[in-house]
Amino acid sequence: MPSRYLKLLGFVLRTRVSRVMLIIVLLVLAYGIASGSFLYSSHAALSSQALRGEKTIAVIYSAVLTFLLSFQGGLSVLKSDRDYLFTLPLNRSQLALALYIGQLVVSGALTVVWLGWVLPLIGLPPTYAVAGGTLFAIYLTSLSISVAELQLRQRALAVAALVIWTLSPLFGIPVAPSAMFYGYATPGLATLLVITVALTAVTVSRLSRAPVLYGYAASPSGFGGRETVTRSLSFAGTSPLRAIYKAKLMAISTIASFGGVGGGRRYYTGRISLTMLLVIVSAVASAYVAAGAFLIGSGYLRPLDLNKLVQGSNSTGFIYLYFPVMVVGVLAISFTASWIMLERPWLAFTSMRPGRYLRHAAMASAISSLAISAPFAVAMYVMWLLKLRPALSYVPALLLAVPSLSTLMSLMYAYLVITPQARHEGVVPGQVRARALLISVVAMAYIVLILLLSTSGPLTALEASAALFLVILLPLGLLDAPWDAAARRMVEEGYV
Amino acid sequence: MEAAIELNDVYKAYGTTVALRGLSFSVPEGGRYALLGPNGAGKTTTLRLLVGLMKPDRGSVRVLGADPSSNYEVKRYIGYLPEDATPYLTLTVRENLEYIAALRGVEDPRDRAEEIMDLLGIRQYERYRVSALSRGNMQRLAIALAIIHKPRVIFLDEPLNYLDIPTQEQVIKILSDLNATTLVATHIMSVAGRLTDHAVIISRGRVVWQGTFDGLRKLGREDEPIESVVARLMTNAEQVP
Repeated sequence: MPSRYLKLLGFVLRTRVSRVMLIIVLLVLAYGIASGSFLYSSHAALSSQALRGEKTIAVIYSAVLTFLLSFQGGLSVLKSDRDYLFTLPLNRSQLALALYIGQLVVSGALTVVWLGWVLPLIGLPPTYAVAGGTLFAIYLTSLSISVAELQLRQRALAVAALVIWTLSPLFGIPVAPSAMFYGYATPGLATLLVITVALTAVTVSRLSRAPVLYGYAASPSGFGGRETVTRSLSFAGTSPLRAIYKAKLMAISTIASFGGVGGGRRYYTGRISLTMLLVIVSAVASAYVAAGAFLIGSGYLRPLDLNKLVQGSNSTGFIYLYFPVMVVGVLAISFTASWIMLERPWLAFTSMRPGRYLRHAAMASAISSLAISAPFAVAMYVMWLLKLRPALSYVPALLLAVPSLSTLMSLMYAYLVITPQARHEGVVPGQVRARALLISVVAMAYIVLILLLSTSGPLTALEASAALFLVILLPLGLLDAPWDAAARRMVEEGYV
Repeated sequence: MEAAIELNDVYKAYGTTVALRGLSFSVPEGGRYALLGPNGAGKTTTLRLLVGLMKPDRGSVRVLGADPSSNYEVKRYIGYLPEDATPYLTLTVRENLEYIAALRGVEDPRDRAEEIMDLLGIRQYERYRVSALSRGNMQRLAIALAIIHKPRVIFLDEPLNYLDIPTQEQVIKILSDLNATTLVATHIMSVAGRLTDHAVIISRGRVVWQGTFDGLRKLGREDEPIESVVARLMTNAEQVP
């Protein structure tokens, strides 16, 4: 490979991934290969039930990755690429390939972290596992670039269709990108190969024409980006602490990224009141209960036979109970990231003790995460009444562990300054740093821990959730000092 | 006269990069000082220390006799406008003003918000989300937020950025009428001259000159522009090891 191209590739990588993150990516890959080889050579044969459980997990994780990478999008083309790289006399195909590899480094690492460990355990021959894992990482990379280009509604529809397709092997469909992870090795690999080649060819071709194809980024159509607000909040007669809760709960800040190839990643802000959030989530939770009742009625969910969910003896039940906790956890984290990104130290930290401000703002964020999880906790209780016995275990997790997760994430986002401050709507220069990986690993471990504990019965789930509440939320909700340290770090790392 | 602002032998570093190296100066109560210096001289760091957003590694910072990073009472009397300030993007103009007034314990946030919207000429945008404002109007709102609680000491970083000339005049008058002790960090000598009467010139984290603008002019030849005098002082300081 010519050194000129390697220089270009190195430059593209440096603009996207920090040096530490790149080292971690290489370590993750090396560890994935080493541990995969070890597991292939030495693990004992799993029972058929355990094997089915691992296959179910592989398919579910494939669906989660598909959701995360296609909905969230990635760095693809930055503004600086359009302003600088695309004006240089470079071969466009080579440039497009370098940009693609830059994206692959990030999505490939995520794929290895989420999926790599399970591949040796699902009964695939090593060559199939390596080929399948690699193709799946490339497929996800192409998705993260191409689907992210779509407007919000089209994107939501496309992502929903892709997630359903990815989950379809659990219902006996062998032609799906994840089918090879569920035992349909040859048809699954063939399907993955065809869609990956086709999608990647189109994606690289569009990358090479990025500035021509997209003079501007996707507009925030469908997102709450109105210019004016009809019902203003009033803070007359409000004490400083009440003002924080009022501002953070009656105008819960949201931030979303849009735009794909040409526009780079653009951020748009929105807000929603706690009441509206509760109404929406309650409606979704009601639909969830209705769907559960239908699944029980039609025989897909076996109410009294779900005590071995983790072993995969009932994959429909596993997905049914697993998904709300997963989605609520991810939403709680994204709400946390939003309020931190939109915080204003020059106003807030100069008005009162910074630690006190951050502490109460984090508590308000925990309350909004409770507003997302409480309707699902009620739904789980109703499902328990409908004889879906394991549902009861998820109630304490949703009521206690999710707000604790929100609080932990608030402190981590603030102290580690994971995300850049969103000073304006529009293009935000992006570089994936190792600390972003750290927070995603912590969040993933936390959610998996909740799920595992919840499958151990309601009492264990209650004890574990109460412990998380007592260890995380209670002290962080009472002490200013950790938040003072976080406030100083935010300012020193560039938050204004 | 007692000093309202006082920095004594202040050091501050970001990792291995030293921003301030023994910075010392003071501003008497009611004084109007400009903080001048080249890029990277430490102006923004100085202001952040003075408003208590950061702590010095060494030395002391006092505003109205108190350490602003640990004495939270003194924050009541301090106003701060950073460079390129953006208010809360998801709140409206009015909500931003009322929210910050409430956080600061202003007695009637609604009345004060109305008063200051009229003062800065942003009443017609009161229901606009900040993200929908032009950069100039966002700067007007930022100035309003910095002074909503009628501070006794105010720190401003490039306050006239993005403002058209009539608005600049209006803002200069508003800030003068505040009668607050003022420290303005700026690159633009005309801004410094309009808002202040004293200058503190810093370079590489140290004070290289301080005095009145008349004193500054006297350092140069009769026909020499003041910008040229300041540039010479800064260049000479850069060459000192």
